[in-house]
Amino acid sequence: MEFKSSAIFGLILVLASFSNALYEDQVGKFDWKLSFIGEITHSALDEKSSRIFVASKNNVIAALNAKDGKIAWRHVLESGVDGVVQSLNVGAEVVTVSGGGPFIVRSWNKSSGLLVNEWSTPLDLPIDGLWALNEQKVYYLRLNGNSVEVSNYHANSGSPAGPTKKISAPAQVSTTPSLCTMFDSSLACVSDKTLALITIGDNVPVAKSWDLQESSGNVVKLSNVGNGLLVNRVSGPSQVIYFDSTGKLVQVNVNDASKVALIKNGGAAYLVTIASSNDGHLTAEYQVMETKKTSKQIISHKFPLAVPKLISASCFAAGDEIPNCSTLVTHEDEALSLINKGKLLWLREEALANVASVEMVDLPVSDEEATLEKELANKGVDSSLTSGVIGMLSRRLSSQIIQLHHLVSAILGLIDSSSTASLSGSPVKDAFGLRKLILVSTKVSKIFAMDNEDGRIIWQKYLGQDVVPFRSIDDVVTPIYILRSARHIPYSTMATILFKERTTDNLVLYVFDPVTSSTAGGGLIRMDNKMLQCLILPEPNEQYISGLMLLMAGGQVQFYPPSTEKVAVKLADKLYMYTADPTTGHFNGYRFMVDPEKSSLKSERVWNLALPEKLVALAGKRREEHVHSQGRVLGDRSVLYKYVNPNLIAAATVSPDSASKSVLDIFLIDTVNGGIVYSNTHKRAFEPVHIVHSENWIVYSFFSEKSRRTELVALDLYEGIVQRNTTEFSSLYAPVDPMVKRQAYIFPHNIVTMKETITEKGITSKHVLVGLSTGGVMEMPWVLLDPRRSVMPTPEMREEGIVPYIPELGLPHESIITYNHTLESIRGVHTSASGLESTCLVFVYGLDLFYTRVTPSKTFDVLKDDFEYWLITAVLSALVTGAYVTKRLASRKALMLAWK
Amino acid sequence: MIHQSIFVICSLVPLIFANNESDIGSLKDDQFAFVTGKVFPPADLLSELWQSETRVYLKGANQKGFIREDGTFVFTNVPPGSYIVEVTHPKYAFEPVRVEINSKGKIRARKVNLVQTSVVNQVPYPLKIKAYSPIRFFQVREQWRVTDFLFNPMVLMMVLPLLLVMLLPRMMNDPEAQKEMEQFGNLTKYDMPEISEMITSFLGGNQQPKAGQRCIKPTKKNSKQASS
Repeated sequence: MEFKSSAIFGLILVLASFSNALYEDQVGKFDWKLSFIGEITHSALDEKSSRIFVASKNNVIAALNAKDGKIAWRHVLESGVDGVVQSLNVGAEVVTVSGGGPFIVRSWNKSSGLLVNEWSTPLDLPIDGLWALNEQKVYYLRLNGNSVEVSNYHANSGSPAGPTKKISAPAQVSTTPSLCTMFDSSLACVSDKTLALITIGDNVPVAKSWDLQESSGNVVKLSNVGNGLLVNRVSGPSQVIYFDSTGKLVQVNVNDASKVALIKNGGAAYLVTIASSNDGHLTAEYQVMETKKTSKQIISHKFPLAVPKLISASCFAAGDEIPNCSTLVTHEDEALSLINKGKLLWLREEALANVASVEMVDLPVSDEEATLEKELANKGVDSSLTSGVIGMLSRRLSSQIIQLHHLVSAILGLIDSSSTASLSGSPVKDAFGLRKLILVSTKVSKIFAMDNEDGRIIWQKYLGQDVVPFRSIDDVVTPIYILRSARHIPYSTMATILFKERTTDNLVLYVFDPVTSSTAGGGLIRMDNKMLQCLILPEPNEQYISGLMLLMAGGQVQFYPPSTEKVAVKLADKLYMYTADPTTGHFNGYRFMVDPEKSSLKSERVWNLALPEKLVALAGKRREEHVHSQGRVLGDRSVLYKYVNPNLIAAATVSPDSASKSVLDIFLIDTVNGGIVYSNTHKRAFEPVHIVHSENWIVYSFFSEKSRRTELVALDLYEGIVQRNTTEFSSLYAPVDPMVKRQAYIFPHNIVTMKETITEKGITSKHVLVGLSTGGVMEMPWVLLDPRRSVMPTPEMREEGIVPYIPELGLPHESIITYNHTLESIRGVHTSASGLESTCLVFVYGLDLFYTRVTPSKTFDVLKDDFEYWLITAVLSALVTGAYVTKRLASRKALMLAWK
Repeated sequence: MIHQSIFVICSLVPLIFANNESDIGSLKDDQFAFVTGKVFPPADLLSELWQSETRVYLKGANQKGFIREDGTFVFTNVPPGSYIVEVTHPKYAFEPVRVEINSKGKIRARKVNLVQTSVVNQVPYPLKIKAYSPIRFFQVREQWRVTDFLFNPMVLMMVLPLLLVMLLPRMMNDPEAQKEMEQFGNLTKYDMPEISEMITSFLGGNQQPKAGQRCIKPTKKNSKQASS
């Protein structure tokens, strides 16, 4: 015990020098957080508390303020099928039924969101039943063909409230789940000509039936629309059925393309119809059924509104005028909006709760800098003397006048120099390259461009339902490539996002300018084949576009833009690709040869590799990564050279084993020659496995069942004391066998995701950002993971700055870069280099989005933001005045002396 | 370290027994347990609605628990295994507890020790989770203080020689010593122009008069000294 406490004390001393935490006054200065819910599946508008209670596909239950759409409270239920919300009911409390085996019934306080009651149903309830909730009872309905079994429970304790009743349905209808729904505490079932209602309650169940007006087509679906029922038919119009104030059944035909809700309030019935028009507007139509009074409004937003998918409404009559309805609309692109009195009150982009891929894009320079760049670029191009000299002079003069104007206005304070907005109003690059555009693509194939300063959405684009993301090992991914950066004025930035077609799985490219969102010369490009792998060419063409090389199913090679094939032909003998099938663990390696007749490329498989099990994690290196230092200087002044193999990937498999339950295998594979460089086995190791791979090191984490804790293993690869080739690395000519240093550590938290920091030139030391299951992101210095840490460090090691080995990686709370924010269900961290070598931009995504900056080696290249300008100005001016005063005094004294 | 010698292997909340008659999969034959406990907030949180910011996690399981107004929480339908119950709050750190559920549904709780996993340090169940320290997420910014400035080694290095230069001559009021000093000064006086003055006169040719003035000064001084 003594040893442990002293060890921890030592660790804290050591860590004090590594941690560079935030100061309290920096909160919110360069970080922001946005919270989301996900795509809404259940919703209820509560007029009394002016709140909207929702449940989402991300297993979230939340209360939103109806006024501004802000989240009042939010709870994330169990992940996966265990947390799927089956039913939501708002009475005095919010009651939810969730799960998919044993169901859990929970009731929540409406204002504070705290749990009031929680109980679980028996384990043997099948998932396909219906739930009906009211203040006292919870009913579970199991439909089997021609009868209904109703089990009932007390709402606050979960104890059975009487025996399970079996009710037989009227002969004209069959109780199949798609043709039945809950309707005002009774079960409604419909057949082609009949509507039957079976009351479910404490009384003796009554089954009543009504004849429907004849109409063409068989019924395919019955759904509940507020206080009415919607009947969808194979052909012919859909109908809304409701009972008017006298209890008479009313049938109304409605348009299939629109979404309807029927609301009864105070004896009147209102039909709300929300339809989409082609130009991104919605039309909202309100009709009072009794008087047939109709009002119609066009709803518009600064971004186009997608087709509505699900609506719920609440209405009340405002005198004798048009009804006053609030309508909550879930759009096809997962956006959620509230329409009140024909106006869009607010809109939440819930697609951002399901981010698939992220990229940070450099912004173009401002207009005046662009003119300067143009001037420099045109030098030497103009051959004619007059236009050359005079033109250049005039351009120089004009650009300098603009610069002078900006300087003067900045000094006079007319323009805030920090807010660098160009004339067109879109954001432009700042001096340090800290301002970037966060390009986000989501699971629902909606693309967002966000300003990294405040998370504002600059533009967005919904690509429709027929493009879907690719599947990766345990998530979805839409690869984003920047084909041309903002550096090449006058060419605009060019980016592409890869999707696949929903029905055919064929490749779909979306090519656009991420700064302006224009799709000139691009847009949605559909390929006629599936893609196996994609590579961005290492060299650009003469228009500065780095082409995409696409390996299609069947082995042929395509290019986007097709003109970049020339570049690839030149580089053909240096291009290699690999494909990995995560479900089987099979790898294939390809090389490319020039077809002499057509001067095009064709692929040839050169190696294949079969790992024993399916992959659980795979990590390569980042293309934009720079390794600044080729080696490590040891204590004895010799250099240990790093094994920096750009073709190396790390793959992990978990296989069941009879003796040790589960075995984790790690393989380091050279993807050019297909050789396994290193492999390692951990017994009794379980998922989740996360890998970070950068420079010459790999860090992976797994759950050790033996000691029931998360362990982190760091591998460090070195070529040795001599470097074989100082200029470039080759996997082909007599590959080197790296020496591998490895060390394992105990990590006291559960890891959700890991990512390394990246900087412009790779000079700054690397930190590993670890997403924790408790909703924080921890910044772990790589020095602590260094496999060369030793229990008894020698004096040479101390000189090198190696920290003594301690098994547990306990980090102080200062190293949590999200400080007191809790980010729910973190799914990934994206890091990007800024223009400053010291600074790395971090974007964390999950149910919440969080952006911040980290400085792994502190801000060594820029003055700290708490730099005391006033103090230094005061000191300098004091010194200057002091110098003058003493000069005066000295001369006076000299004069006096001279007179004596 | 007080080792708790007596502990009760808890008479737990009755579990939901799986109906073995049905054809439910093997996973559901296990006896699910409830993990219950109570969070005790520090005194200064009692005034606010601390429950809404406090979260409980059952690490290693998919089950979720939520805090009620009285601070209690329950994890429903937890399968047998070993889990860590962790409570988080933006301002306070809470001690995590390891909870072990055996195949019969019995629960025991112990302190989390990730390094020495075999050490059992039992804690009572149902769990009582207390805050142990406030969390410091932020660094404390250094403030400018006069004492810091004065005791800065650089400042001390400058101030001490200054004292020596300014005060020592004053302290030596002894006339004999002064005479000696003067003699010593006369000895070291050479009729050589100073190098710095040579350079200034060389570089700034037009500043002759000033240079002249400067040249005169010492001579006058010297003559005065000589006369006195």
